[in-house]
Amino acid sequence: MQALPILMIVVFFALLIFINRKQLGVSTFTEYATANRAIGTIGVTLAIFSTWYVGAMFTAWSGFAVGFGFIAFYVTPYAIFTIFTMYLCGPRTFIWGKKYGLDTQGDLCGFRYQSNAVRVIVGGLGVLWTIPWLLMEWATQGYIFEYASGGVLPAWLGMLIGVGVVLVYVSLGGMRTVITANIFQGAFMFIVGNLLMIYIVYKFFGGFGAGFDKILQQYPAMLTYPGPGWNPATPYWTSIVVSSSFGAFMWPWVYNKLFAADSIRSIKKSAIAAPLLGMIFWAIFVFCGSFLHLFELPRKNPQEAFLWISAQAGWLPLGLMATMIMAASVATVAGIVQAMSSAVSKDIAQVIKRDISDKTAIQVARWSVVGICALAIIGALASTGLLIFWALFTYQGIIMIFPVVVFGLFWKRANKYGALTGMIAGTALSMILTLANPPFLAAWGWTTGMYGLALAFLITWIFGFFKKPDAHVEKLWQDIEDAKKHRLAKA
Amino acid sequence: MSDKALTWLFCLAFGVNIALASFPGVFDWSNTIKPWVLGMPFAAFWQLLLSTLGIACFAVWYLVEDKRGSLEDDVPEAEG
Repeated sequence: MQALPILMIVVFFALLIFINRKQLGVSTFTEYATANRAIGTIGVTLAIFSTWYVGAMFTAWSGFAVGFGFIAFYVTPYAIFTIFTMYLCGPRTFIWGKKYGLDTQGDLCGFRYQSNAVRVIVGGLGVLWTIPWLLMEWATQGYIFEYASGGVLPAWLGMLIGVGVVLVYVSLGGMRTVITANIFQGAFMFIVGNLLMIYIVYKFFGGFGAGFDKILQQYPAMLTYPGPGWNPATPYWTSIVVSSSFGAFMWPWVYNKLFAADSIRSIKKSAIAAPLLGMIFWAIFVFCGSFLHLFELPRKNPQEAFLWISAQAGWLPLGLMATMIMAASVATVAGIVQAMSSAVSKDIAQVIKRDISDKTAIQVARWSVVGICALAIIGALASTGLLIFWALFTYQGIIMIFPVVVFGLFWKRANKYGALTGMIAGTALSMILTLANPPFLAAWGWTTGMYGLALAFLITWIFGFFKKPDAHVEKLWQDIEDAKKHRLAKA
Repeated sequence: MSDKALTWLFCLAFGVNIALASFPGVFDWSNTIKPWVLGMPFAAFWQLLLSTLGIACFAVWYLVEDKRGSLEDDVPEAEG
């Protein structure tokens, strides 16, 4: 029975390869990057759900839910605003992406602003800020593998197996295999994850009502912000909600699902379904995590809490929990690696060498997958504590892409000078404040990214008044009108 | 109502939603255990209520756009 959890993980990996066996092999770069823009509502919904909710939420991030309780709810309001960004940006991204064959976020921004510098910097920053997430997810896979085997199998072996599986299906199948796997992973996470957490709540705490009663009696601070043991001001809550709201949809591995969608309708249907799945999953996770605070071991080692309580319930619950975390982690990692390799090929290699053939572009993307996987596994052996710090910090950087994308999509006057200056100045301010850590940061409670974002917005906006929109921008806006006429003509 | 006005209306709705969920003042008011609603502390209920309303807003927006035909906007595929 002790081998059951590891066996379940291995079977899960084998299933991933099996369901993708007919999808391996792509003939064009667009197919690799966007699955030929053929993904429907279920694919987009579960791809966003499974990519967004990372495996580390049950290890590194469970510190928030198990350690501090209610504060982990910051994810629910920001998820709504993030999906609002998706709903808003979806149509124009889809229309311009389809009409001009744009495949990545950097590609879209570079095309809109007619600037290779914007393309390289947006693509490059997306890759750069993603690295800590990738490392942390692989560290999580190693940790799960080691824990599920009772310490018999080393973490590096788990990482190696995870890397091998991702390497095969991402490099050979691109976006189509990533989303096919995401549908399976997302459904597994939602159904098995929720049932398992509800089972734990009823088995160990007597249900949600009884769990709340116990928490209220012993640790009432867990039920409100900020939770026991610390006292950040309210703007800290506002900051993490707002900066995550602006940043979360800017991750290239989330944004690129818009290029893969088959229609505006699919994108918008997904905008209803994805947050609904997310809200249910996250609420059960926070409640279950808060109740785990009642036990001493989870209180002292929150990163171990969900695995530990599953192990107390038996080998099967431990196997299901480990497999579910692995599903969440592999889904995110595959999405990240596919987006990073697409960005390296399209936003960097094709800028350096313009006349690159489609076949070479796919080769560059595939070799990027191998390179990224090799580098990440080395990095993942670094301290997990450091990775959490960097992963949290990346939101203070990724949000600087928000003004570039939103102004670019909705304001004709936005130009490359404002986009570049705003993005660079905002990022620099955010980094400087983080390093200098002036006293007003703690006193006022706002995170460094909020100051950087305000500066980036201001600069991009001011620069917009220095130059009239050129003919290229007017044409893009005309495309939106033409898309409406196309609809009316069809009607 | 024009497409632009409709978009602004929903932008306002989502702006209010995030303000009610996170801005100092309103958030401080909601950050309390009592009253218990639907078996959970008020702070958790408030966040879940706003999220539910947000999802309902998406559904209404989708239905309005569907009725107006906006979801059928399309362009020809890129060549080459």
